[in-house]
Amino acid sequence: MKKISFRNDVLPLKDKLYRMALRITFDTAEAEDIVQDTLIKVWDKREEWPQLASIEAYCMTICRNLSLDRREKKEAQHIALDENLHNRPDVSTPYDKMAASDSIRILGELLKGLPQTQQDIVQLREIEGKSYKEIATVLNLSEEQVKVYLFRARQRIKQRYKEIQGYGL
Amino acid sequence: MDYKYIEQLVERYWQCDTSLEEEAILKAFFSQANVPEHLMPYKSLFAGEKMLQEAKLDESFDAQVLERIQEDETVKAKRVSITRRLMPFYKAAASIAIILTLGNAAQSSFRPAEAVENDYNYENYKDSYDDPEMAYDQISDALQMVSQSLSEASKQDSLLREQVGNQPKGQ
Amino acid sequence: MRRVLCLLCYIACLIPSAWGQDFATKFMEQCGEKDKMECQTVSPKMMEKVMDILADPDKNEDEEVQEYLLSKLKSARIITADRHAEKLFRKAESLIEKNKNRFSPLAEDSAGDHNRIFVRRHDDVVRELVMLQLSPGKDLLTIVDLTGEMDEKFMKLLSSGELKDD
Repeated sequence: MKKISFRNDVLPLKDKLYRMALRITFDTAEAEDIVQDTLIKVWDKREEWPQLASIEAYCMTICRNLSLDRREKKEAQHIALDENLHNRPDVSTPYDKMAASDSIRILGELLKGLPQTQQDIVQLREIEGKSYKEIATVLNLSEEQVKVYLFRARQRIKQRYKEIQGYGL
Repeated sequence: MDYKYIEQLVERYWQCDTSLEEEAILKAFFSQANVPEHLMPYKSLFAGEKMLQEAKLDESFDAQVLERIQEDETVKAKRVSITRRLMPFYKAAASIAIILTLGNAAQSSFRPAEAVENDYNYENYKDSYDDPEMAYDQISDALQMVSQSLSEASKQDSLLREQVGNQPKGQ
Repeated sequence: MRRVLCLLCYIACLIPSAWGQDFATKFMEQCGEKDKMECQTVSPKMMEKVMDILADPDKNEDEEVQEYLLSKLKSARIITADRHAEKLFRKAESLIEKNKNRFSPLAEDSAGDHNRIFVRRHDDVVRELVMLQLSPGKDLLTIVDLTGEMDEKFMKLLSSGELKDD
């Protein structure tokens, strides 16, 4: 296996990681922070790189865990502070009035309930624009599995739309 | 643009029948300003995806991370060299510690406990008085008390008199 | 590696200090009720200063006795406790009991339950003298701990009961 270089193999993943962190936390500053922490963490574990099946999947896992941690902390704070549920994004808000970043927030909310693998596949497919084959390599799955998971994920999203505005349509 | 086509694409999207290119069309469509009312709900999904797709970190980020890593690197390097440099010192300290330990163990096992010399560790003593006069009073009191109980006891116990009288051969 | 080193150093430091403790220190440490007790200390340095002020050329006989006694002392400590005195007295007794090859009994009151004196001898002189005294009815414990080179004359002077109360 070829030697992994931080500058050439890890650092270029920053945007992908950033988008993932952003999807989970909806906060650009926080996401940037998370990516930095992720990269430092990965760097600290550089002795383990040769044993990894995929450095990309490894980075994603770390980044995802950090993001989820932060979101949990943040949510706990929010609920404790003011229970401002009415300020939370609502999928049925008129869209033309929505701030741009709200789209990201709603996307995050839509994906939140999905199993981790499905979330990752949606992320890789829809946001990173990867082919089934590429996704399969990164996540160490078969192409068939990727298709099945993506199908389930999209069905779930569709289902959620129906739940939210079933009476409206 | 034909909404029929878009509706069809959305339907195929749910079925995972769309290609990456077709999905790109969907994202582009939903990112524009005027989306028809009935397709509005899906705007958040595709437009959100599109926005996320475009989210990027700027160049200064690289520099920041690399800087943090370099700091880490130099600190580590320093640490290693210090440890190495102090290695002989550690070894010396270890041998001294071992000798001291063994010496002490030998000392304490070879000589009987009674034979230990006047080895009180006065370093830990913290004086209660700054004034020698006060200290003198204190000592006088102490001696007074000891003397009193000694003489009382010796009145009752002639054995003690003997013991004090001829110094400690028998004990 | 470093941890082993630390441990060794620690042991090396610990052993001499364990030997170099007088009874009062040990008792205060083991008893664990420091807040209930008061410990007055006169260190060897202070003892020297006391000797300096006693160095008065025209002293009377009593003072001469005092000076002699003090010259034989290196340190003095007095522990007093005015609560749980009985309990602490028993604790002190058992601590001496545990170290009976160090301390031997010198004197005690007839019942042996409220006044006991122990000594540690070496080279024919008393190196340490410990007196445990329980004042009955007052719930007061006094421990006197003297170290130095208390010779035969010292002990005789002390037990003669002729020490002036000043």
